[in-house]
Amino acid sequence: MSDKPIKSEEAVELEVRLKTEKKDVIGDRFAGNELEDKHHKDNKNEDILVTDHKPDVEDQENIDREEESSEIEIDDDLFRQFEYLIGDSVLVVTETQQLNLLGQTFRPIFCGTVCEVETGHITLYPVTIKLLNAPFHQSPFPLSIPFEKIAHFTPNFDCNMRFPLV
Amino acid sequence: MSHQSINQIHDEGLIEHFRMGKGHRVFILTPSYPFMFIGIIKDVRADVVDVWVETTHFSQLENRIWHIHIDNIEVFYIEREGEPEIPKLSEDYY
Repeated sequence: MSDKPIKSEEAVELEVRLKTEKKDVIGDRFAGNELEDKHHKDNKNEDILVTDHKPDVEDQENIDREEESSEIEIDDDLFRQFEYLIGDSVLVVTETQQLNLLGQTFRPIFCGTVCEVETGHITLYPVTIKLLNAPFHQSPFPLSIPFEKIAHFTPNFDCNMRFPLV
Repeated sequence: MSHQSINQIHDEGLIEHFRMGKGHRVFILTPSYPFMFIGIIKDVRADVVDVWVETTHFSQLENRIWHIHIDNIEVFYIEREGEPEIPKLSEDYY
C-alpha cells in the first residue's frame, strides 16, 4: 500500500481511535486479510497495521479486491509462461527417480515441443524420451505431463543435443 | 476458496482433464508397479481414475479394471479425435 496518503500525527491518532471503535464491525475481515496478505505485512506490527489500513470499510473492500486480483496473477504465472512457450522445444525433468517402459527403466527426461497448455498439465509433441540406449527415442503419440510432477524444465532446448544421462 | 493454493488448482485442472477424457483411450506411466497402463477411462471419482486396462507389462494384470490415483501419474496421454492414436501393443510400437 505505497500509495497511502501521508498523514499528520494527529490525523493518525484520530484514525487509530476511530479504528478501535470500528474494529468490532470489521475485525473479522481484518484478521482474515492479514493471513491472506503475508508479503505486505510480514515485517509490520499490528499498531502500524492499524494506521496503515484506513478504517473505512470501503477502503477495506478495495484492498480485498486488490489481493484477489494479485492472487489470480500468481495462479497464471507458470501457466502463462508455458503458453508463451507453445511451439518452442523444452527439456522437462519430472520428480520420480525412474520410469519403466515395457521393461526398460529410464530417467524421466523428456524433450519436445509444447503443443498444449491446460490448467493442470502441458502436452509435448513431437517428444523424445531419453531412454539410456535410445536417447532420441521419439514417442509415437504426444505426452502430457502434470504441472505438479515437473521437477524442473529449461526452455529453448535443442532436442538433438547430446548430453550424458547418468 | 481464495485460499486454494496453486498446487490445488493444478491438481483440480488435471482431474478435470481426466474427467473430460471419459470413454477415451489413455496411456499412463507411474513410478510404481506395474509402471504402465493402457486402457479406456471408465470413470473419475474424487482423485481416482478408473481404467479398463488392456495393456500393461504383464498379461496377468490385463483386462481388468484398475483404479489409479491421479496424483501418482507421472506422464500420460489421453487420445482425442483427430490426434495421434496410442498404438495397440500387438502392433509392436516400441
